[in-house]
Amino acid sequence: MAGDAAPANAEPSINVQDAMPSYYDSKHAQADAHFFNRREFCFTLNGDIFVRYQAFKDGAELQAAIQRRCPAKIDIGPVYSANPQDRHKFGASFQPLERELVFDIDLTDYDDVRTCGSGGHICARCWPLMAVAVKIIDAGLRQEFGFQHILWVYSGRRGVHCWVCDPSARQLTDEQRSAVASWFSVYKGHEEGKARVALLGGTMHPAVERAAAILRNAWRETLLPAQRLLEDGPHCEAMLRYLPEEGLVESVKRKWATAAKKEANRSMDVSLLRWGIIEEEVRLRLAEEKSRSKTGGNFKVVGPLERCLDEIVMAHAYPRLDMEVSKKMNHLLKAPFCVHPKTGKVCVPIDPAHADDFDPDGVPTVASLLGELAAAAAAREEAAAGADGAAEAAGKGPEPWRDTRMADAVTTFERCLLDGLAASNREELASRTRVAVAVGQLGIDF
Amino acid sequence: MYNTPPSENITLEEFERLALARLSVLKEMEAYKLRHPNKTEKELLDKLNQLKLKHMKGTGLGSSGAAGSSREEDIRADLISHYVLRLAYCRTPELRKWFLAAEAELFRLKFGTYSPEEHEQFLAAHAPQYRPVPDDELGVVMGDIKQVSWTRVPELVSGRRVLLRGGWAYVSREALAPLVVAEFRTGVSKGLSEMARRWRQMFPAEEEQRLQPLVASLANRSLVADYSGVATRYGDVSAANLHQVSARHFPLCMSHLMTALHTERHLRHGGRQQLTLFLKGIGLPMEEALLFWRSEFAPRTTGEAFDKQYAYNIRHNYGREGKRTDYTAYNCPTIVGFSGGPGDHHGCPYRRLDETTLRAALGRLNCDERKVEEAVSKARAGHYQLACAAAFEGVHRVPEMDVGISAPLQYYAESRRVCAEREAAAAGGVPPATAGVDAAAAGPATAGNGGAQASAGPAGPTPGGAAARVGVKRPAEAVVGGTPGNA
Ligand SMILES: [Zn+2]
Repeated sequence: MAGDAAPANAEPSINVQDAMPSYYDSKHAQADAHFFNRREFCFTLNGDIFVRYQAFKDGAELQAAIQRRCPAKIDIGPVYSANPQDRHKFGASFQPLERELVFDIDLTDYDDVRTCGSGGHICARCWPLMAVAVKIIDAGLRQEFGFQHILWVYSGRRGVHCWVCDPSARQLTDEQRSAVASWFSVYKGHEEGKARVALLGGTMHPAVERAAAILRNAWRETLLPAQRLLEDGPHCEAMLRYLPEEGLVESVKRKWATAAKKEANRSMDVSLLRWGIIEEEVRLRLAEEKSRSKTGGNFKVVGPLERCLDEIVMAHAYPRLDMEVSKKMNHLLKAPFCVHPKTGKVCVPIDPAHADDFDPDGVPTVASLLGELAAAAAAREEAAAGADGAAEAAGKGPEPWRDTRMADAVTTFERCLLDGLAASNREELASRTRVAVAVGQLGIDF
Repeated sequence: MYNTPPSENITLEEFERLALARLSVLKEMEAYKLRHPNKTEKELLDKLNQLKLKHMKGTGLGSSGAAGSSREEDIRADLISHYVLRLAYCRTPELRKWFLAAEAELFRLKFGTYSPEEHEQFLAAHAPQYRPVPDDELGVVMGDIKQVSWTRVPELVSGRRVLLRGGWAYVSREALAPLVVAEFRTGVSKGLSEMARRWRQMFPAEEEQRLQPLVASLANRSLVADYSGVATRYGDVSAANLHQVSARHFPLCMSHLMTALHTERHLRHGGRQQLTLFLKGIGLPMEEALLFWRSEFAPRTTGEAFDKQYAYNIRHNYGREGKRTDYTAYNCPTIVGFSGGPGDHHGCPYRRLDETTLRAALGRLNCDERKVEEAVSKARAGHYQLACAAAFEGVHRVPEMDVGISAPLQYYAESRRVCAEREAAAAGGVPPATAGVDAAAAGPATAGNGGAQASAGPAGPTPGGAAARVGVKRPAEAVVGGTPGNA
């Protein structure tokens, strides 16, 4: 992605290449032809035929191939040591050299904790789970790992993809990729009807604490009310299982029953109301236990009580990564701006700062885009007919996609990734030039 | 970090002595750790210093500040001995693996004793990728923390065992130590492989014939003395008192054979070989041996049948028949390696007996109960020689030995010595030597390696000892060098 590949483009009418002139600036660090043509593209043709190890001379050749073959899906692989099409010539020395660090988060992995649907389902009620995952991973990648060029993309159906495009990220070894994935992995699968989260007993690791702070906030603001986690019996029971003491569960249930009778509570969100009661009961129980002795109570009792609320929040909403995607340099991942073959939705970029506002049901689809194009053309025609004798006006403008909602997606793409990349590439070029001048290699006259 | 091999002339004798001293420390340290998996760092370090004093005193390998050795001498001896052993242990993957583990442990302990200043110096010199944290970068005072690119410490990142900020991992001194040890291992490992690859070029042509066998033998040295002295020193064994002596002084592998022989009135071939050679080793004369075996085999085997079927073999073992080879007793590795069927009693009992039988057998030797359990658990873990050492301590009620038992004769010699000292003490002679096992165990390593070793004497490399030296001065850089910067 970073500077070497145009995002694969399944919309023939959209030329994303035009949107990033700085990319194809011949002075660019990776602009040499022998870089782009070592990048693997994989086309999935109709009938689930995978065509792997495709490589192209440049964006124009890639675009031509896409338009000719109309792949149902396009995946992007690593940059290899040689053109992937010549891989047989190189034997074992044919190796992946570079690849963006990628993440895949999928709502199907949340089926045990989402109440609105399962499988391929996605809706405004479960999107907050994705939004909070984007926020947590994005903040971690930037603050902890120091990455800057991070692209988030809607996967077209029920999840999100992340592409970390910093040069240092592209060169990570598989071991280092695994380490990043493990760093972010807190959810450790299911046990006795509860999601197990590794909170490391006593004090939380600062990185986990940072995530927990984001989650605690999102929990009350969006997750709890959107998912209605404490409305019906089975879901309530499931959550109460995380409370460490039977007595505590009983007292929570009693308070719920009393609260339900109060008129004043009728207007409140049931889940929020009930959650407030859980929090209160845990707090009271904790205070009681701590007052028992000067030393602050038995740590075997206090510990689980102190952790249980965070455990509930983390178990329900901490990002669940598909680890395998991130671990290997040569794992393929669907290209941004692809059209999802089942939903027809375009895999548009997401601004991580506004992940909450993203509407997975509102993204442009092939059909909506074609409609918009037609409408725009009709409008132009009308305007042309009104305007005296403007002969050629009925034709298409130079960039008809700018009249569609694809324009917004491209703007997001530029703002969130390309502009930053271009800036740091320019900076790098400039500093290289400075170094070169310093050693007199350019022989420039001042 | 042993980045540069030493280059100076040393005598062949010093070359060997330094290597053997270091080897003794490494081996005994390994045995100590195996026996005491739960010792604290402090205890391990004390042991290491004790072993260094024991083996390296006067060689310049003692702990620095010790009388007679300067820091420079220490460093020199440390370097030479390390590189000589590298040469000896680079030949096969197993040897490399052992040496690497032993040296890494030594390094780990040493690194742990460094003061903060020494840590700084070491890191600056050998691991500059670990940078000091610039003042105020974390907003708190972080005295003992280093920062390193997170990509250098993927295991720590994976386990979320570091703090990450902006791509830097902040590593505490405790967390740093294993990383530096890992880098040390990598360095030594690379050096060993390189040496193995260039083995032929390591020796100058004119020295090759003398040096190669010496270096090669270092790796095979079991550090066990030649126990031939035992037979003459305690030469009071006869057919008549053999069962008595066995009960007091034999290791289990032999007393077990004695018991089986006595109850079954027979022993199969493997058992006969193992026992005969051992009895010969402790000084049982051949005539006494024939007498003993004949009476033990009776009445199941008549005297006549015995002379026909078994006597030849005993005489053969004593070198009086056939090729007249003077066969020597088996050592532990050989015995441990024996396999046998249900009717066989030879081999190492710590390996071959089930736990119940082993407990009962040790009980019959009147072994201390706690030590019985220790022996059983060592045996279970596959440390048969350490199990045997534990049994020794349990039977003789002595503090622990530095090394495992490596030959039945060693066990026997130790046992005789301990008992003799006790009797002397009881008779008002020498004070009881409860810690004596320790000192005696040092014997094999320092005195048991043949003439060259003995001639070195305790005085160390004094120039006056030239007459006792082996050969002329040798260009040591040609020996231990040859791969500059190989670490
Ligand atoms: Zn939903």
